Amino acid sequence: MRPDKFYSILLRLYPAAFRDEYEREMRLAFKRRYRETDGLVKRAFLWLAILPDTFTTAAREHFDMLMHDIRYSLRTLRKSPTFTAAVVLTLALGIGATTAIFSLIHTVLLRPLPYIQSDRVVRVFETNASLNIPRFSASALNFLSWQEQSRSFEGLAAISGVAGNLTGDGEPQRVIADAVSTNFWTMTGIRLVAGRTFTAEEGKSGNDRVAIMSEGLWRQRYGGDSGIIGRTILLNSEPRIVIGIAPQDMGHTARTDLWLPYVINPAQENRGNHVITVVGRLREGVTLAQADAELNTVAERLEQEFPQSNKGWRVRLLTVKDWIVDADSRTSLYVLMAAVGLLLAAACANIAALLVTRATGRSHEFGVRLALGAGSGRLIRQLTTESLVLASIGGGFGVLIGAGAIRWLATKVPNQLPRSTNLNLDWPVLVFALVLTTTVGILFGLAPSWSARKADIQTTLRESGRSSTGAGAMLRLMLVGGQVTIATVLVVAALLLIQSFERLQKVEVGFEPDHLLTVVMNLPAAKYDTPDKGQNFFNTLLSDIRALPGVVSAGVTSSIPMGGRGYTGMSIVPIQRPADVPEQGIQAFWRWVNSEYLRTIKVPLKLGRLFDASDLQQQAIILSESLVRRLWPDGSNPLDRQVRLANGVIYTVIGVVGDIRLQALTEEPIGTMYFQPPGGWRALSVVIRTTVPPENLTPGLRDVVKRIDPHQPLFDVRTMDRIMESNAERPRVQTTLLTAFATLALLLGAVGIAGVVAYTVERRTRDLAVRLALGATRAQAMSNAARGAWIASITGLVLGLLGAWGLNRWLTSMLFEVRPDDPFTFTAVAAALMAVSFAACWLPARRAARIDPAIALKHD
Amino acid sequence: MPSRHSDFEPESLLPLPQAAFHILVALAQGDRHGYAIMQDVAAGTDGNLKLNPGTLYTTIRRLLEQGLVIELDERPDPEEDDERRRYYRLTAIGREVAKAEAARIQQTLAFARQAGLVQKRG
Repeated sequence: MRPDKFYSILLRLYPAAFRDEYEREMRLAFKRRYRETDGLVKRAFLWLAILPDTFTTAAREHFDMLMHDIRYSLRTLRKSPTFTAAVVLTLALGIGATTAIFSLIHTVLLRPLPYIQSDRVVRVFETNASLNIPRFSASALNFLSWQEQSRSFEGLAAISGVAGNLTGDGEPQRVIADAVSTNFWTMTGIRLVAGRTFTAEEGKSGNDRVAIMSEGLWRQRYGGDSGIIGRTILLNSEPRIVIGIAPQDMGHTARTDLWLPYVINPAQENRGNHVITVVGRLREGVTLAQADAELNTVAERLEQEFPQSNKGWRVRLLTVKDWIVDADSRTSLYVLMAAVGLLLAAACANIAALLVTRATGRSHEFGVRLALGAGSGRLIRQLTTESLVLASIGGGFGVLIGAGAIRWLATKVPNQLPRSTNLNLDWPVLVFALVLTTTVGILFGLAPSWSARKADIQTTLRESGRSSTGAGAMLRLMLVGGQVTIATVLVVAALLLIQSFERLQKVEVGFEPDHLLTVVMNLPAAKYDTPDKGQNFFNTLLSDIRALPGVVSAGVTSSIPMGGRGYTGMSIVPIQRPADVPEQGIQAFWRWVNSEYLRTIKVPLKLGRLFDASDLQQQAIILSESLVRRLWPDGSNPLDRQVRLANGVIYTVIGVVGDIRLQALTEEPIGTMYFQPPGGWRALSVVIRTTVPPENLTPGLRDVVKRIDPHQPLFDVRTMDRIMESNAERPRVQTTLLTAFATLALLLGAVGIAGVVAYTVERRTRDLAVRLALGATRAQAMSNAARGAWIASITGLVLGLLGAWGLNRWLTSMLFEVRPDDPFTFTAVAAALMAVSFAACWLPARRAARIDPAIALKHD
Repeated sequence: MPSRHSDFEPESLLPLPQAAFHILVALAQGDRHGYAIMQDVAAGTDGNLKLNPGTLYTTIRRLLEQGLVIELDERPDPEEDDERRRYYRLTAIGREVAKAEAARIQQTLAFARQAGLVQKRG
């Protein structure tokens, strides 16, 4: 290549405007300099001087121009503060909302799990089609058999929850402990913060007095003292040596305080007892489906070997990712992201419309600058810089709004969404906000640039931006239509969620949740080693509580309704089995209750009687209505009949009560059986009915417990109202967010419509005046001014309704007793948006009616 | 732009970048086109400072913007008849700034001389 040719190419590094001015001169200078340099070495040195010089000066030139453009932009933006404020506010809301929702998506879905090659880590569920159980925990003996017989896994590990009280050093504290197989750590690849993991030896009975502490507990209770390793702690009154510190976020949970070795004693296990969580790592090259198939053949073998306990039991594998973040959470996040994306699009459309208007208004300025010799490329560069400056200011405020929204979300979601305990504005979220801001800035910078590109000196100077026809006006109408479409989709979604939420609030839970205080008591086995000790504790506790002022009654149960834990199901079968009840019986929830419990929560008695103290020895059982219907489909009287539970014990039915929603507000009750604790009175929830506000009772309760056992921590003291509220928290947050997005989108849409009409009136004053002078009525003038925007809004509305109809099936899993295509909702939204569009057209169009032709035409 | 202010102080632009000062010095001797400035600067510094086209023209653009030089109409290059070149002239303000910079350098030099860092000419 010829040297001057190459130099010409190099010159392209400079900004076009600079090149226009100096390219010829520079090439000439280079040519002469080159000609005067002779010899290969000297010329090489010349290049060595010229290349870096070109790079640095070109970069500097670009930088100078950018700075110049930024200063110019800031100056022009300052001159139109209303416009600037409108754009910045709109953008800040759009970017803030998007950033906040993205932080959720990032924390829950995108953030990698702490496992090595997490796509090979799977959760093994047991499943039983004949009992209608799609996913269930595993039994410890089945787990051992899988470990022995399966070939698909590098390792299988079990996790078993243990409730515990930490005592000895300081205040007694209730902790969540998880016993895990000793290979759990190597299998998942989770690295400890400090110390070591369990040895295989520590998985054997007698050697297991060790514990790994979570980082959170370590910092909170022991102030992060590294001397904790090697120290002995008292868990449930048993000493354990701390050998390591585990990260708080373990992928599948961030709540566990202590990790213990899981010791399985096969002699004491029941193969039919499904209580443990099993995870495994697939061997290299083994697919999920292959492992699933292989483990199912093992399950079939076990069924033949142990027909009593394993009839119908198979396995189902799920990648940990799908296990940890369930499909409902995923959908809910995608819906929020889609909604906020739409809101952002509406915000951008609004801003683009504002910018187009402004560009049209500034066409005179552009014309002058073109006439003075600025290239249209230079103008586009200036406009893009201006958009980016606007976007950066908006984005800056957006990040602030986003940070606030994230803090709000962080108080709302951790109990509702998996993996969301450490929600904050971290750097991937900031990078996202930055990329978003830049993209948005460039994108909406395109709109006015498009008009500027077409600006030619003659027409722009002559008309000085008086016409309203052409690309700009059409573009604005399309943007308005788009905004209405988006607003419609979001308003439909929000209205559906609001109705769903209202129905959720009105759900009959089956008992009277007001004026109830609940508390979980968990007595350590080492101290309360006989059933009598536990029973004495609870008896004293209950009678002391009843003596407190403001207490009506108090009872205990194995777990309270909607308490978030205690999925305890068991099969039940009548001794004289009717034909349509399967041999294996019917799955139903079971609850241990004492004689006072059902009276305390006020479950309606339908038949027979509630427990009294004498029933404890008599194996009496109370069933809920729906369970009775399933057990005796012929409608025969269940009282005094005998039933056998899966644990082999036979009970006599003494009463029938109403159904209670035990797990969630949205759940259809499947039936519950109540019987008295057969002996193990250690982990029970106390429920107290009060006449005073229940939270006022907490200090008294604390004193009572302290008096009976000073080492016993109080755990989870909550009013039933609060529990119900937290159950509705997720739909509440979803509804709040979507309603906010929809309101904003609707507001933007209305402003967009009004803006385009006002703008039309302003630009076409002369034209309208002529029409008025020629005899058009005021109404005709108004309709003339508003027609375009009205047609655009109605088109947008129709598209929006169609879009909502198509998209809203994604809402199905978020809706309770409301259909996503609910005709009432669609009609209401159509009517409301028509009204809003009409108002947004009519208000500014009135100005068209007020035009005085004489003045408007004379003025020209 | 500083040149438009009546109360303009040349010192506000000091110290000048090396290339800018040399260009002003070259133009102080008369109107020049770009290449001639390069040659003058090279000659005036015993070949120690060879301005590259990039530095030369970006600096000229800045000097124009600051009003220290102005551009004249294009004239044919006396050495190459067929090429028309752009000529630049020092403005009054440009001269003031160049003087101020020269004085500043002299002061620095005097200080260095006191310390015995500069050889006295023989």
